[in-house]
Amino acid sequence: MGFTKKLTNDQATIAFGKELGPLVQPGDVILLDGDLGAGKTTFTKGLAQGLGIKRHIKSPTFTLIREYQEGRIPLYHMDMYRLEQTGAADLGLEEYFDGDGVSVIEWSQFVKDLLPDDYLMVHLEKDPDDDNRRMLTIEGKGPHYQKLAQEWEEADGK
Amino acid sequence: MNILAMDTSNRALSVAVLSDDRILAEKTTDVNKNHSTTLLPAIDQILKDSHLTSDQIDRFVVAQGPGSYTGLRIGVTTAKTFAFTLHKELVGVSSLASLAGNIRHTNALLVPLFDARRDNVFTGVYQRDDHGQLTNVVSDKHVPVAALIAQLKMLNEDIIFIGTDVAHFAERFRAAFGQQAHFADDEANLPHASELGLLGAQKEAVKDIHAFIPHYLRRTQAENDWLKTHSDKGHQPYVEEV
Amino acid sequence: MESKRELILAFESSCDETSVAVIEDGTKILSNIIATQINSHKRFGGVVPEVASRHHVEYVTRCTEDAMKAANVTYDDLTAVAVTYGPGLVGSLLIGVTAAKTIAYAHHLPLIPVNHMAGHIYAARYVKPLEYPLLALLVSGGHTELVYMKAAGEFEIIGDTRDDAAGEAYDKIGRVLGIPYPAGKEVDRLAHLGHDTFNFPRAMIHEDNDDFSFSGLKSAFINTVHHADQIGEKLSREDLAASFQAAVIDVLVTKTIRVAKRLGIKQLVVAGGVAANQGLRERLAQVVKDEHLDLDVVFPPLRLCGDNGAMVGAAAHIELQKKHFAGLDLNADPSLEFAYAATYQP
Repeated sequence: MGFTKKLTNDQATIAFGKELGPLVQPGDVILLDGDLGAGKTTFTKGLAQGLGIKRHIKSPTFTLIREYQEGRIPLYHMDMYRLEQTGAADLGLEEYFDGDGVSVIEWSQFVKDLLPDDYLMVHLEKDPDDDNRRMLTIEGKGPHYQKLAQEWEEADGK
Repeated sequence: MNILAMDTSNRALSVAVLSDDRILAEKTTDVNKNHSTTLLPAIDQILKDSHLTSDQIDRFVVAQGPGSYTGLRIGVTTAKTFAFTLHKELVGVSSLASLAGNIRHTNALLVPLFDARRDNVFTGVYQRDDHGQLTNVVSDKHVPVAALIAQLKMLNEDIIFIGTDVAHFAERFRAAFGQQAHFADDEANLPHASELGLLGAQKEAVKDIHAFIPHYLRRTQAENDWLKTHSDKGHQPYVEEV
Repeated sequence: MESKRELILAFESSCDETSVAVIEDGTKILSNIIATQINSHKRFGGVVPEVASRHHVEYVTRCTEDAMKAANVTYDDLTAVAVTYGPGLVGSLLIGVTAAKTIAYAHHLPLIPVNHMAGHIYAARYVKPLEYPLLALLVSGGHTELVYMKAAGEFEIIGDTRDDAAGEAYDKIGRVLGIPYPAGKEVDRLAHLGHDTFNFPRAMIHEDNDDFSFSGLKSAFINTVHHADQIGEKLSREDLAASFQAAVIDVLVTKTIRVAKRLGIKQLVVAGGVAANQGLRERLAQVVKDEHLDLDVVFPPLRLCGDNGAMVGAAAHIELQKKHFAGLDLNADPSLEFAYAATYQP
């Protein structure tokens, strides 16, 4: 269950992410899947705006997790890029997943074993003919996230 | 001999001060896992309650693992730093043995365990001998729950499961062992540093404090994957002073 | 009474170096033991947090013993214990914090918490006295910041990266070029062999703010390599590196000099791992010379650009004067940041 969305540039990616901001709830887990430069952090900037966060969303690659407390609910922005072929045992990820905020995870494929069963997957792909264009595929796993995906699609249609 | 014992290997925190085999003070909490902020204040409090200062401690005993990696590192780093900086003795005791030590006056198999996720546990098998001394029957290890059950079936004795994580597996243990399965009460499911200290009093002190590290019982996934295709040779030393 | 020497035992363990130093009066390095884990993490192409934490436990007391011995001091001689408590990897930070707290407690010494980034700036104190107001350009794997210091120990962020840190961009494009971690030094070397032929974007260079952005540069680089691959064209790695580095340095230098002029700064400290970059050092010196600027650019010695205990001790010296001490409940703060200036517009 899900939908796809074509976006023409970074601003459109941000606007699309922003629409998800009011819909997410504490404990929600969103996985961002896409290559280097596919726009994962750009998308997260939009989501942060939708949560009412004003600070810059910076790449969390160095510290793996950045926390933003100023929005409607906390945003936990995680980047598992450095954990390729390694896993994240004992990073305490589950404490974030059970927490009071929304967790956004880039490069989640490197910590597959630690992910919850249900999540919202946002797959970002560059248009091979145009570096600015993106194709997003949204998929909700489990009833809660299928509903979230549906609400997002409706909010986007309005 | 004055002993300071500490266990931060799981969610609970326990610290105790002993004078030989007399327990002077003990503090155990099962509130959160933030041992970084709570361990030294707890040590400070029980030392004060015991009218001792840290330099009057002769031996530092720590739950060396298995358990939560971060928790183990906080306990082990605190204990080894105390022993190193005050030139005192250091002893590591299995966190599982300490839990098993909570159960007395039985010759049943004692099976303490911690949930290691993905249907695995950290566990070992212990038993009291005829003199009441705790002995290790199966050494501590990281195993699938199914493998533990298979091994215990072969031993075919009464079993007492110990630890707050046992509840996750209780139904499976009941199904597998029926009347032979018993479960420790809430008090015995929590670690008690006094028990850790008593076990630590009997052990020899470690020779090389610097080399003392937690018993994680698992290599990191990174190292496991790497060792599948590489040999250690030619890469060591991994850490060098520059 | 005989005046006692001020001696600080300083710990640093925020990433993949375990370091312990003994510092006298914030200016003299009596010892600075650094155990680097680089050989270990090279195996994985980057720092693996759990592996790093494990190595710190293996080395923290050893480094302490070596630092005390090399400095030829006893615990009774010490004035205070200092430690980096953030930013960094939480598991790594915790080892230094735990060891430092335990030593401070066991020997009844005050404990000084130090911001790792303040440490990087104060590494410059080993070159010469710092003069305020001062501007610091902090460039590392996790940070690209312009920090204004009105006085000693006062830090305000006036410019910041809006996405990736400069050092992170180096590592990511290094990966595209097949350069093993850590890529910075090799990209710097290749850049000196090539020419700026690709004209990558200089993001925000003319914009009316003091911020940086390197994400667009990273994308442009990846796209260029990707398109060449598609048509089977082989690009010069030297020229790619030179073009990338020229774009990074252009932006860093242009914006930093502009801020220094605007604020009438006399001393500029360039600090953090990327401060070791030769291209950056050469260009800044060139601009100051060409424009006849009255600006004293201070780079910490190469050995002190990376993470080390000496820089923590120098920053702690200032905190000691301000009596900024921590209790036994000090925790690691992986997301610790300086405050933003009141005038800063995100």
